[in-house]
Amino acid sequence: MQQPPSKDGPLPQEDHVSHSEISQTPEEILAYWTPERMAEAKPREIRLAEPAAGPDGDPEAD
Amino acid sequence: MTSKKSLATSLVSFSTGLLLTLSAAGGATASPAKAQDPVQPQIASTTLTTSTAADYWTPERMQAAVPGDVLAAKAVARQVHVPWQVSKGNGVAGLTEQGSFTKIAGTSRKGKTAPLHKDEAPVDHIGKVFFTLGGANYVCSGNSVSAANKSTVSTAGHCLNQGPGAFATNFVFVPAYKDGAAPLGKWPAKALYAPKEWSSDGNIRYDTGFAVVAEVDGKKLADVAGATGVVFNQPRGLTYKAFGYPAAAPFTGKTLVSCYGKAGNDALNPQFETQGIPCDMTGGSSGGPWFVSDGTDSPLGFQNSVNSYGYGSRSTAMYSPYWGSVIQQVYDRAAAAK
Repeated sequence: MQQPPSKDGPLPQEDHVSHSEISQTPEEILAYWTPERMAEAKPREIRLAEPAAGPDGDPEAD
Repeated sequence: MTSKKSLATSLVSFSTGLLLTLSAAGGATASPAKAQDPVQPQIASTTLTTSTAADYWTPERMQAAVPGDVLAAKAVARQVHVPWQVSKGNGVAGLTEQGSFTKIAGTSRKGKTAPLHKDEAPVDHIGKVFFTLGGANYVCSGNSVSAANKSTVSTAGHCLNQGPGAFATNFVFVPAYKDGAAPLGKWPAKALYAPKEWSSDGNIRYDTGFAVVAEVDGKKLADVAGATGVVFNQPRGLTYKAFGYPAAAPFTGKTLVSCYGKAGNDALNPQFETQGIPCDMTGGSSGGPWFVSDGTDSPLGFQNSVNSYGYGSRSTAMYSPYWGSVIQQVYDRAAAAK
């Protein structure tokens, strides 16, 4: 079993957190999401460029 | 870091659905052979009525049926004695069939490959997240995680921030979602958290975010839907069970789905330090939780990552960011928020 990276990018004592306070009230958000809007919401996804051959990582199905 | 950022951002492309090429099989046509046509094979045919045939085959008749190869052997034997056949040498010779070389390709069972997912019943703490980014409404997946505020939801960074860019608005978590129903309510977010590496640079290595949701009817999310533990800085190569609500074809986004397997590195982009498992979940599953498995596919244990990305339009692997100290810091901040 491989060990985790010895260094996870920048040092953890740095502040790596960004955040946003939602300006809308909970009631406004709930009112926004009508059944129609929920049904029409599009999946947001990341698809990287397809390689010529499949990824040769070694994910395994058990 | 700069090179990683540029590579990641150059490869990342957001799409609103998978491109799926469908091909309709054309019906084969053939001209029937004329009866007694000397150059066409003579074919006898009988029209069968399906129901009649089905009724005919009683268990007794099936048991008494003569094997077809026996009948074939008898047919061959009969041919030996056909008057117009001439015996040549020690074989049985008949008319020499002549014709052009003919080759008809077989067909495979397209689209019947084994699925890399399993359908699941709703799980209380897993749900869908809906949000608005750049004026468009989107859907992803999320999970209620253990937190001091009892109100923290994990998801992918790209499900609450443009990466790089603005945070989402109208963010709401719907646990135990099924077929449009929200049996445990809808939980609007008060605040959204992401690593700066994602929100400022769009670094896919940190594609994780957390939402802090408001109370609903005076109750906290974890008290209604439950919350799973989280774990960081784990060894690589663990076995995981991942959940999500894939919505892009061929899925509908109406039900929960899972994938299961031993994680392997992303050999195409090792600099991401992500891990992948065999999985054919599509868009909409992003942000769904990865649980460390105890070696069986039974849930749920501790969450250790989220669905992040795949390759191409028909990906057979789902990749997730490594939850190290940076993502842990983001979680700590969100979990402590009031």
